Amino acid sequence: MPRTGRTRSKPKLVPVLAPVLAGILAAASCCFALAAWLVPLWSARLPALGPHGIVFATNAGRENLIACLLPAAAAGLLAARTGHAAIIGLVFAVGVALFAADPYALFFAGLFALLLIPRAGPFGWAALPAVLSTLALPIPPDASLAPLLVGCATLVLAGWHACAAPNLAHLARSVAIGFAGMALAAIGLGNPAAALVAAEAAAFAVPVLGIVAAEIEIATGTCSLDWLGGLARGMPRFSALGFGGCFFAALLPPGPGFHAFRAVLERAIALGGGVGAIIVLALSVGFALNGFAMVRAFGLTCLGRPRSLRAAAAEEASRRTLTALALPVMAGFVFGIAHAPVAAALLAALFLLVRRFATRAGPVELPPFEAGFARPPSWLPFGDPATQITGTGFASSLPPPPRAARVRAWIQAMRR
Amino acid sequence: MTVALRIGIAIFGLAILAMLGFVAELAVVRLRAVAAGGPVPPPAQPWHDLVKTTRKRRVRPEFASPLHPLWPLAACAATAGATLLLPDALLRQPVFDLPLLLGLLALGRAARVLAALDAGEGASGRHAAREALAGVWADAIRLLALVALVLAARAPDDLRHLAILFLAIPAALATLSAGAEVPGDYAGPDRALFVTEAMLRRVLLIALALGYAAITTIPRLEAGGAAIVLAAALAWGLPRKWRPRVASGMAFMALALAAGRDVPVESVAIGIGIVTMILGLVRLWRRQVPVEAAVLVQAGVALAGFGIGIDFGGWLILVGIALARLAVALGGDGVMGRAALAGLPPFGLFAGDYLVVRSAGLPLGAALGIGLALGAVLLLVPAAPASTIRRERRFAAFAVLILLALLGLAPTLVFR
Repeated sequence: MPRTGRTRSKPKLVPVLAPVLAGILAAASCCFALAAWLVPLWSARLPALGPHGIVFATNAGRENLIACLLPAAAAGLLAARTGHAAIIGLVFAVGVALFAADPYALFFAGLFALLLIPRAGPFGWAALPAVLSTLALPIPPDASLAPLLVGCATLVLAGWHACAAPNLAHLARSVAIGFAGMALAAIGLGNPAAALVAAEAAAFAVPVLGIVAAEIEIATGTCSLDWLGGLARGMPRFSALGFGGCFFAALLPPGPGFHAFRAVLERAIALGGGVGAIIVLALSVGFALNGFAMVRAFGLTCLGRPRSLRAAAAEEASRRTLTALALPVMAGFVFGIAHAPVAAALLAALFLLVRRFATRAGPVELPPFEAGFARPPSWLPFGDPATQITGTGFASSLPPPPRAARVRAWIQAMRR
Repeated sequence: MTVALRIGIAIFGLAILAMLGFVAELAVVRLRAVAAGGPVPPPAQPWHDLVKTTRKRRVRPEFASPLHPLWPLAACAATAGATLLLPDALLRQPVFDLPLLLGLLALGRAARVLAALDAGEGASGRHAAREALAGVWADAIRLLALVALVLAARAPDDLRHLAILFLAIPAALATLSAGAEVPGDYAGPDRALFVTEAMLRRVLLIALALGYAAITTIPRLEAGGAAIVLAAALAWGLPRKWRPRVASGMAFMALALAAGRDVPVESVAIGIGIVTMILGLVRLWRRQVPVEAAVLVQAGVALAGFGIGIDFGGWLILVGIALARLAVALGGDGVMGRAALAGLPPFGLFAGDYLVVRSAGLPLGAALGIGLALGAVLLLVPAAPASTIRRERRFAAFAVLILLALLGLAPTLVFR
């Protein structure tokens, strides 16, 4: 007799364990944030590991950074559908990298993390600024021009690449590299606290962007900006949480990205001189480019009309993904409000005041206006995508950023 | 200062600025009416327009996202928040929350762009792309110019402080035109909010620039007034395409002047002159509008001349540039016009170039001479055929060229 019913496969161990681990990490982040205020600094030595033993130690800034990275790790674990082992390994590796004051352990963990980045996805990129700033923190202040210049160039180039990013995964990588540049520039300025704030901002923003890119690819088959649009209608909660990630990465107040930008800018203004001017120049360009890139990414992905049938048919993300996104977004907003409570309260109060006095009645539905184009065929109920601006068109007025292949071709042409 | 007093000052300042916003709006409306030759509207016209707009119904495009009604609220709240910071900013000179002010302005701009993208129409998408690009320029220029003003206000001295005021204030005010239109399909109170936000932003920037000019240079308030006039000339005289480029150059120069406090103004002028000349040579090499590139080369030599102290040579070059540019505009891009711009005898530019190069000493003079020679070669080698001279204006063009030639002979006669 043939079997008609569907057989239920036995659930695998890792998908069951992942939410538990994520929950433990999220709880650990809360405990760690609390401990940052209560517990004094500590250090420990493991003499059996490494050629000279490994020293673990916390300093005045690192525990805050770890408290920020833990929700990011929890979000990565919760949202990832494959490669859990890699993510768990990466969490431990980056933890070692952050704690260790010993160069051997530092390089070991850093290289291990780099090995795992291709599989670990968003959390790997989120940890990049933290690992880089950990590596750069021991650089003495008198030799700080190199990280300063490298950081400034990285910040501007990453912002430029983010503006022309063809898809959301590219955008998340550019944002991570941009925050790494900002952290390096802060270290070059002699302000490790600002570098840690930049790494913390990356820990909040990049996992959200990475998870958004992965989830949109699953829902629509692509994360290219040219084929998305209108996701806020089918996926409203997911879009609202994605907006949080874009908001953090756009360096707008009162998000954590803005506090990183503010910390570096204030230090540069206080320093003045040529070094301060270089930082101000790089920050102004990076700030403007990041704003452009994030507005472009969110506007073309979630607002307007869909640019493909699959984007039109996209449905709300699973509760697990929404929880994964909500973790760093909520943590980021708490971080931002804690850093500037007056500004956040002022903005919220003004928003509510304006809403109270300006909104009188519900809106009238406006019929679609095709701007002179012919009516779209019936199989395109959301309008013809050809009549809308695409990601490529939106960024066409900016010059294209330099790419490695183009630079290589230019060098070869110069040699000839 | 107590918190209550500061809040009171902020609210009073907001009320004053809102009134000033109406006055500025009225001035713009009246100026436009006079320029268009139409009847001048009554003084209360902006208020009547605003009241009339708020009484209409709100509309919602069919494809708009659930976030559609939030954009005008966010834009207005952000700019009002920035306006509330202004009195505090001016009272606590030169240290105030500059990053928060810039961040709130950028937040308002981002809300406007997202509002334009939300309707999902082709025309508003193009408008959003233009607005976003203008926002990139505006954010970067504002940050550079305001940081230059903050740095200058720390230790005001005579010439340098005046130069920074003349460069930074017009540059900051040149960003006023960005984001003046109401984005997307908004009507009723939503539209009124966008109009109010644009008015607030305009008056905020004007008040900030005027406040800086007044507070940091009370004895020389006329300098601030002259800077405002220069800003107006910049806004009305320059083509829209060139406005952000010129403003960003001015903001950058202001920052360089403010940051290089230990470097004498003369050396800064020489440095900027050399950079300008190199920029012109690069543009000539890349065949980008050769006449404009040649003007850059000559302007660089003139700046270097002012830095060296050869004011007569500098002025001679500037007058020569104006006349040669006029000749090219009248007679076309022919060999004679290009020769005049290249600084070849017998035209007046040659005299100025000769004076500057001879007085500059060996290394700088040689560099300037090589740059001029290279520029002349690049300008003249791909010269257009003489037939491009417009026949109807040939006489006027030759008259200007003869005047230029007489200018070239003048120094010889004077110095004999």
